Amino acid sequence: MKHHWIDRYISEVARHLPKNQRGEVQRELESTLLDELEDRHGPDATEDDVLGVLKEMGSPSKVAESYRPSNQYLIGPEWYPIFRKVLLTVLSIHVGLLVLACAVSLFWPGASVEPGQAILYFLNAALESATFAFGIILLIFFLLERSGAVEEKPKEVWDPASLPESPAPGDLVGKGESILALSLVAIFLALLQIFRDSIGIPFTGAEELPFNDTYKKYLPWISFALVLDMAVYAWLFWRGRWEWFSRACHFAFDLFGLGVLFMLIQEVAIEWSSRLQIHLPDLATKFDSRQLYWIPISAAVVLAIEHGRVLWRARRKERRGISTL
Amino acid sequence: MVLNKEQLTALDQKLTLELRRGMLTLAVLGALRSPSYGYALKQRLAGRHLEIDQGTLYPLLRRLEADGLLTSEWIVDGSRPRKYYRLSPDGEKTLKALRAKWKSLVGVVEALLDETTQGTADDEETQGETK
Repeated sequence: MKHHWIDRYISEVARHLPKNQRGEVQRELESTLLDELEDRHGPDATEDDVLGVLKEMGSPSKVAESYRPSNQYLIGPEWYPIFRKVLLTVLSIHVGLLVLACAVSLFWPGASVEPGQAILYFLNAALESATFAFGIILLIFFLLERSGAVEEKPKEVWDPASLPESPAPGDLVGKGESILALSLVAIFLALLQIFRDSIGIPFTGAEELPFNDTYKKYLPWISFALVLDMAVYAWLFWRGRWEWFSRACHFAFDLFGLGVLFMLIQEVAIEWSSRLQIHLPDLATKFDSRQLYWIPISAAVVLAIEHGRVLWRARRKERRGISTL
Repeated sequence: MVLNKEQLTALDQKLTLELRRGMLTLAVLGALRSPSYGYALKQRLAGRHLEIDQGTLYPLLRRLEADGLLTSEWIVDGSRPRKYYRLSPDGEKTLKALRAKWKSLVGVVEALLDETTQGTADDEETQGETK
């Protein structure tokens, strides 16, 4: 009868442990408690004696904690201060922009929006976008944590010559700069998700929003490309400088994003004429859907200029004998 | 800043804990040259005035086992099974190396403390003569 307290205690400890540890810890704990009991009170220990020994052992959650592996957190102490800062910045910008949007919709000349409705709409949007941004940032930092990026692996023999070169002024990335970039991408991503039903190409008289289905089809890929971009900015925030790795990732992720944009436009262009003929037959004869390709071409030119500038700067440094790439 | 009695006691406890932390591993490895189960080991260490609570001892044993320094087996000893730990061959080597480092450290720190004590006594003598 008195041993049922030990069984209950051990079961409670096990409840707080990972499954693969439970059996062994339970068995050892039981053996230890019985040893302790017998040593102190002999074979005729009373129920009070059992409860006394358990009380001395401490609460089951505390005992279980001492057995658990130490790194049981989503974001460790090394990343937490940065995570907190990024999260606060992103959420502040979110709230600020939505308050601004709400104010504009209310006070725009000729606006006929009911104040109560507008405030409720924007509060809902703020909550949705904040939750979404929080989830994305948490995921990025969780991945950084698990990648072990923060750990400086100690080398057996440390050579001062292995110290990284001081970055050129152009390679330095300020914390504010990377936080801002990260925040803007997060906000853009959140808005694309929240207003997913309102994005398309509006035609007068159309009952549904044409091309919203095409947009939604590509939304997961667009989101993925933006999340990759955010990972680069989080990395830059930590490193504080552009390096060959971050540059290569940035280039590859931009290329990926451009590919997604191109495929989206291509699908819209293919269906453009048929849908235009349904909604605006007069315009259908005048408009060439190939003009839509200017969107990905313009994006490609902007990216080519940006990455070309970076490469040119790196080559110039090489010529001067400073290698950073 | 002058510490009050409670602060001094708290600081003393904290520093003692820090001092014991590293040393406990050495003591446990040393004690497990002959096989023992957790409770018996705890009692044995307590008999040498080295009190260690179960919340520290059992996780330490499991960690040392996971690191390959201890081996364990369940033996039905008397009325119930008990998990016996003992030093593994790698544990033996590690213990030997740690013991050498321990001796050297104790020697260095003792010499330093003696030197400091001597220095303080000399200083006090000099100050007394000056006065």
